[in-house]
Amino acid sequence: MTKQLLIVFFISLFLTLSACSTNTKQMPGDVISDDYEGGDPSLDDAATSGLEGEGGLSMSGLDDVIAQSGNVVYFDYNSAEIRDDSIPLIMAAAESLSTNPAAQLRLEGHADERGTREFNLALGEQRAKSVRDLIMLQGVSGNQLDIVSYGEEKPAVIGTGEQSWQQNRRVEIIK
Amino acid sequence: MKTLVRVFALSVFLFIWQSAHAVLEIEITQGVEGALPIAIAVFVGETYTAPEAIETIVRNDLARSGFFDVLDKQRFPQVVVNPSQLDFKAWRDTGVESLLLGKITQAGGDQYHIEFQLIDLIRKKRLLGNVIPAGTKDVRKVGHKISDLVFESLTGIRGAFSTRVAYVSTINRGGIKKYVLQIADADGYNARTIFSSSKQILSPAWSPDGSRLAYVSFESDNSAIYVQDIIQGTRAKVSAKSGINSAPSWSPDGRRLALTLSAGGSPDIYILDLGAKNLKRLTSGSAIDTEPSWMPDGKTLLFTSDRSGGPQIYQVSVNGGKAQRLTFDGKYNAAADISPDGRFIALVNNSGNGFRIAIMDMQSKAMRVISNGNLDEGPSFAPNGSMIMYATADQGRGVLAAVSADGRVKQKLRLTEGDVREPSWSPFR
Repeated sequence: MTKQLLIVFFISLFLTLSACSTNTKQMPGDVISDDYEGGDPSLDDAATSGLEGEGGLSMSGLDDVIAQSGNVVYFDYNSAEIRDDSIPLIMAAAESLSTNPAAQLRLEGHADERGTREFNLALGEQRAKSVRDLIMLQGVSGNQLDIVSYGEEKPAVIGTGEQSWQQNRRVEIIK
Repeated sequence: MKTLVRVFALSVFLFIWQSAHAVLEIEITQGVEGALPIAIAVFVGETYTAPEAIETIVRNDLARSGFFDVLDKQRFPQVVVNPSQLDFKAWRDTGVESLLLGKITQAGGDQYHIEFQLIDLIRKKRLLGNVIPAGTKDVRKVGHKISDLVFESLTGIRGAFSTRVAYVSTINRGGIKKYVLQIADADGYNARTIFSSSKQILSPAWSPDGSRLAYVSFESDNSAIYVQDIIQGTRAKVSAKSGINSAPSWSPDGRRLALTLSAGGSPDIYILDLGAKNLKRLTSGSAIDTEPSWMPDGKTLLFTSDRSGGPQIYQVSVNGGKAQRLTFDGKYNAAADISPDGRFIALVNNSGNGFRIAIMDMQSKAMRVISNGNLDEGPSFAPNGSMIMYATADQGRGVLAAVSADGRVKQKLRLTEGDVREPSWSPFR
């Protein structure tokens, strides 16, 4: 767990740094966002309209990650533990939510066909909650996250065998 | 001439059957050893203009129960028109010990009298003799009734052939997926849809009096539990909290539902009083607790929990408190269904060879695997405890299968269309 947190920290750091160094267009947005959080009432109107732009930019950060590697967090068999390979996506989701407190994400938990349908329904929810908990750990409000589990009822891929099963053990992050 | 009419009726039936969708078929997949040898004679008399001969229904019922070895028609030593002509020795020489005789007489209009006798060939004694009045539409009902009486007379166990099974099926209509909750006779015939949705349906459960079904529907996107009156068709939403609302199980008195809710943090077992509409929480903690199942005495419940790592079966008092772990064989034990006498549980077990149905003796805790699929699930006991229905995969498709409680006889009930799962065997009518 400690190792995982450490990884989370470094990836957050990496995402922040890369956002600063490679995407200069986000800089003004960040500033406005900081001002807003500082609570300067005179900037309220400006901040509100500015936030829309910021929201768009920030969500496009998540969009970039999704465009590159998809919106799906995958899990090991019968497990709701977040794997290291999912952390960049989850961090991008957390980043976009914390910079845009009005935004909402839906987390849909799923399981593969093995085991009982009711247990898998519960397992799908545990997976969605693992993703939610890690996002909330980054300071995001739980109100921005909506959770639903479909268990094994909505497979991404029809078929039997580890290749299909792996694609079905998942949480989909949906805007 | 009568035979011709019968053959004609049979071909019409086969034609209708093959063109009809969503009919279940029975297939005996494993032979019978040490079962009671019986002969079911052809019912003589008037041609009963029904799609299927009564004796065929009785023969199929008794054969698939696993308790009987039914003599092949080709080996019949005589055609018995009148019991007084019965050649006891000739029948005994074929190895059978009992014989069912039947006679059909017309009673005006489409009304018939179905007369039957069960003969003990060893003691030369009549065990059953009865007349059932019936219309042509009642042929299956009458067949199952006779099977029930023969079964009880020879085994001492109440027959369950007149019962029904509820299950969920997915069908594809012009590229649109539909989920349907259906009820069919226990032999797979007479399938009727009682609820249909474009969203998933799960976990149908019969009320103890057989008048209502509780089930989980995703029609409002999240899972919610409904109770539907199967005669009236009316239904009520009984649980729609945030998170999971699932796995309904009726208390033996039919007044309460045990269910799984995750509104309190993680999936836990609760009891919902359907009259007072209050909730009592039985389990807590961060682990998954689900699939509650009421013991027949109403004092404790079994449920699945992964509190020790993988899913295992636990037992808890209806008043809550500490749960006791019951299963230790295998890394996956879930979805316990309790036999009507409370002596056995059927469950989904994985000991490394795939997900299979096993039976555990509640006293000795000895477990025996009775199915041989890789993805078997959803075991449900017949109300007389003699068989277990479950869902299995057959060439990539979901089908229902039934296995005798001793594991000797297996059969598949196959839909001609769609994927079938989540069987729930009804109580006695």
